[in-house]
Amino acid sequence: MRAISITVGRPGAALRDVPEPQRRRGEVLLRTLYTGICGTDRGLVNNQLPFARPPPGSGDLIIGHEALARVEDVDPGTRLRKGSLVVPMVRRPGKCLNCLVGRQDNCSDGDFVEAGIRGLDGFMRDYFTDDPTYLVRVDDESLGMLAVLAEPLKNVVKAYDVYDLVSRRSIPNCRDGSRSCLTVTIAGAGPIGMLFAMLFSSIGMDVKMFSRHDPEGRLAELASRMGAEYFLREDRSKQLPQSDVFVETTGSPEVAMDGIRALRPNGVAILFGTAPGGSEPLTGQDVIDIVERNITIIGTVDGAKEHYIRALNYLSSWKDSYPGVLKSMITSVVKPEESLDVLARRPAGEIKTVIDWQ
Amino acid sequence: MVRYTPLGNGRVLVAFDANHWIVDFYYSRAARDNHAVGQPFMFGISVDGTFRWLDRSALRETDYEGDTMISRAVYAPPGLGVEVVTRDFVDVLEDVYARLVTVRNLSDSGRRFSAFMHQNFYIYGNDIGDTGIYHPALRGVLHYKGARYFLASAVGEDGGTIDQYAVGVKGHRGFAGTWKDAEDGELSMNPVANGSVDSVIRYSSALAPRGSKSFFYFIACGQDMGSVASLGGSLDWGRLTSMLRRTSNYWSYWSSRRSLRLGGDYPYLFRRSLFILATHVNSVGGIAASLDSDQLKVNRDGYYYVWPRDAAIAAYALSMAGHSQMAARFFDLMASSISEEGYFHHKYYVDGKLASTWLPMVRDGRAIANIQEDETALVVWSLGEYVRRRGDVALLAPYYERLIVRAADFMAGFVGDDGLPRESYDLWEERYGVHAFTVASVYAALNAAAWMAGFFGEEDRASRYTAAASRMREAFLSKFYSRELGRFARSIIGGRPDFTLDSALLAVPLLGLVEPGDPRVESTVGQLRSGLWVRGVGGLARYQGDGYMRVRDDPSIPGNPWIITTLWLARYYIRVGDLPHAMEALGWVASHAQASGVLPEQVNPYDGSPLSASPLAWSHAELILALLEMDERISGVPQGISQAARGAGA
Repeated sequence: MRAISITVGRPGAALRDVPEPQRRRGEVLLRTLYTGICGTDRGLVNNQLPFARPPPGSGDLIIGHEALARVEDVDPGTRLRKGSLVVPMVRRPGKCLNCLVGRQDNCSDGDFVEAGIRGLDGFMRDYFTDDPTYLVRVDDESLGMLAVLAEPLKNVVKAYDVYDLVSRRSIPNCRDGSRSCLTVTIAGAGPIGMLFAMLFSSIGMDVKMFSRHDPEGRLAELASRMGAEYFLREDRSKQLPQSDVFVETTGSPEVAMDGIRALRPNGVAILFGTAPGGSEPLTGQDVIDIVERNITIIGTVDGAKEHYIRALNYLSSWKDSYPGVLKSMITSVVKPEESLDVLARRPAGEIKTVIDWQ
Repeated sequence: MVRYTPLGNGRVLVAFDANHWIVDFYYSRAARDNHAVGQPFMFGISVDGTFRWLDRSALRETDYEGDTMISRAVYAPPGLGVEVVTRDFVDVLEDVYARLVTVRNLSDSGRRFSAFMHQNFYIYGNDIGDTGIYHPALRGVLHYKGARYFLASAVGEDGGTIDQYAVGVKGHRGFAGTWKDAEDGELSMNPVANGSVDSVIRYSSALAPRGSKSFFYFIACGQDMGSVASLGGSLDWGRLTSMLRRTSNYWSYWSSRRSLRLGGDYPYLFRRSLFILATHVNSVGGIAASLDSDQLKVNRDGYYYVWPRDAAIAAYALSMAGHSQMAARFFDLMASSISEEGYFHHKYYVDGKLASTWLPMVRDGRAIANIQEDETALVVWSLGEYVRRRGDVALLAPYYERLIVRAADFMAGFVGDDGLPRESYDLWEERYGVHAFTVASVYAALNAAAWMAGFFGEEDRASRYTAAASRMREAFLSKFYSRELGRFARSIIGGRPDFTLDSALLAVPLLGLVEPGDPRVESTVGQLRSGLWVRGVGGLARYQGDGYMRVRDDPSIPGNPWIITTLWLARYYIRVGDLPHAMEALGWVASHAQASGVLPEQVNPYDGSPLSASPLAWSHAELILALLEMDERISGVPQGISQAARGAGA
């Protein structure tokens, strides 16, 4: 069967022929239908992620962590049946207390593995086996390939939960009890930025998002269809609008600090994007402003099974409430044989590329 | 047999078998009478003249829809080129069961389908004197007897209704039943039958290529012709759509009132357990042990009764999860059911009337109280412990005098010369004697009652309860513990201690009779863990040599593993901070839940399949408690029973 793998420590990916997995008792055999490509995959292929590691005893790592798969074989009496569609979870627990209770997204000692990223083969292959504990059933089968967005969206759902929790240290709501008077600024208009925009927009907040390029005005059009406002920010000379929530998805420390500096009192900055480059000094005035204005800065990663389930529910609902928007986010669909170039370099205008394994 | 995705509103309660066919249909003001008693209401489809029953061979998925009490099933009947999705619900307000059926055409050509819905009522649990009759004005089939009326019909999104029906005799005089009539795709249109009766109705429509059609099938319930005609006659597409939406919204909000910090499948199992438990609570406060009627076939008696023990734990779990209104109805029922003497009987019907028993009133020629005293104790304890923990004193006031004081006075007086409770039957309903579980529950109840008495300024009463509890504890420590064996006895029977390993001993630390960290408890639990953990399939057996529903004679199996006993072990480990072992036990329970979250009473020790009643309300209540306790443990909330149960005053 086909699999896309990297040799950890070296740039490049290859489409290889590997043996089909043998299902053991208690496991589920899955047929991969679609996998999404994200920045982490490209970081792995270009050997830019120091935390990448192959499974024990191997030098190669099968990549891919955003997937939709179909159950091919399963023990009777389990929650899944042959034909069920599932989204597999990325992170698998270690031994800390958070991991022990199923919250490996909050792992406290780093002793976890992540499918397709560190220590565990991923889903860019025709078939794989998995523990049903880490499979999230897709009830709305009409989602089709859109279900690959559940993996990135679960990060956003968790980030929102964390924001919601910390925002309650003061009164976060407007006089009418809603959050419609609050402004969110989102840095980055990739899939994560878009998903943040849809989530905040769906709860009635005023959403503004920006990126450095929008050559054909497509991002602006997409943002407007989800009830958000898009603006171009080609360099730092353009001031960011004042906001109550700032979401950073690009990984740029400069952009992060610009956003934090534009927060209103009791504002919350959600840092989600990561990138190794860049630097931005934290000045004494920054510290004064953060303290005096009760600014909270959140770092958040991954999500629990609960967040995957809610992500699928959101996708199902947004499919109808934002007609065509989710589909527009999938800018190309390629076969595994055509995917190596796309995995190495992001095509111009890409929001999300999906590999079709069928 | 497992009952999947039960649905209810406190008056109407339905449950499905492995085909997703209704097999239990309870309806009355208190959902007391089962009008299906395990007999299936079949469901079939014919596409372009090819008929088949939609049974488990075509059933691809069945589960609750999200976290709400809507049951969703997907059928993919081989060779028919259609997919059938059903969404069943019992309306949260009206006495209506309904099923939204969507038939999807998977082919590129137009098709015609007919759906066949079978009504197999045994009104009041028997098939004598039933009537089935087609009602032209209501365009449906009416089944009735006495004060139970059921109108079955269907309505499409285009306003269309049933196009054929058949009513006939079943299982009698050589008649199989009208379901047989459906198998040629055409119904006889016979309009009436009486005696042992069933019926089938048909809804037909056309499908565009790759298109779909939806219709509602419904059964409206009433106590007379007027009420069922009024309700059933008002059910059109718009009203049923609105009922589906409100039912979904209601249970979704209801089950998400309390969130957990746990990950994995635990949040969903928690919410499912809450509304599965809610289906067992009727409108007058009866909490049934299980709606599964399958036991009737074996024993001619079942689990659809209120055991005060099971129900008290369920009420406590519901209250702790934020649903004390449901618990209040239960305490109302208990306050009106308690005996003059101040104790509870073995079990009750779900409307509070005294139910069947196998506990004798005479033993060895001597009159005895045919009770299990822990049942009385746990009702008192559950109310007091909840109020103490959550500060919800409003729940306590209506029950203090008419329930708490009467029961506590009885317990404080129902003691032997040594201060231990007098003999009664054990929680497993098998042995007559003085039992560790009973001592622990009476001890906890007396302390809870003492706290409540103190709260109401009745210091003398509080002191009396506290003194009785203290004396009981001292006697327990001196009479039940063996230094040689390093464990507590489970019972003293006829004056002799019984040291059989029994999971019920976990009540000793869980109800605060002895601290969880006490070396005597640690030693006892260690022996329970090693002696009762079932080799291979896992889980904790009830006790060594348990023969109840034993699969086969096998000395290597101490007994079938039970859900509640394994959860007691989990809760013990949570109390002592051994979270890996607690999660191991919780994980075992989670892995033996059905897809819908339904938990059985027991598990087959050889293949892990569910055994005995399923769902069992007590299993779900214990899971809710274990998850809440784990959540509170990892959130830093103080653990263990409240000061009330330790004997501290208000």
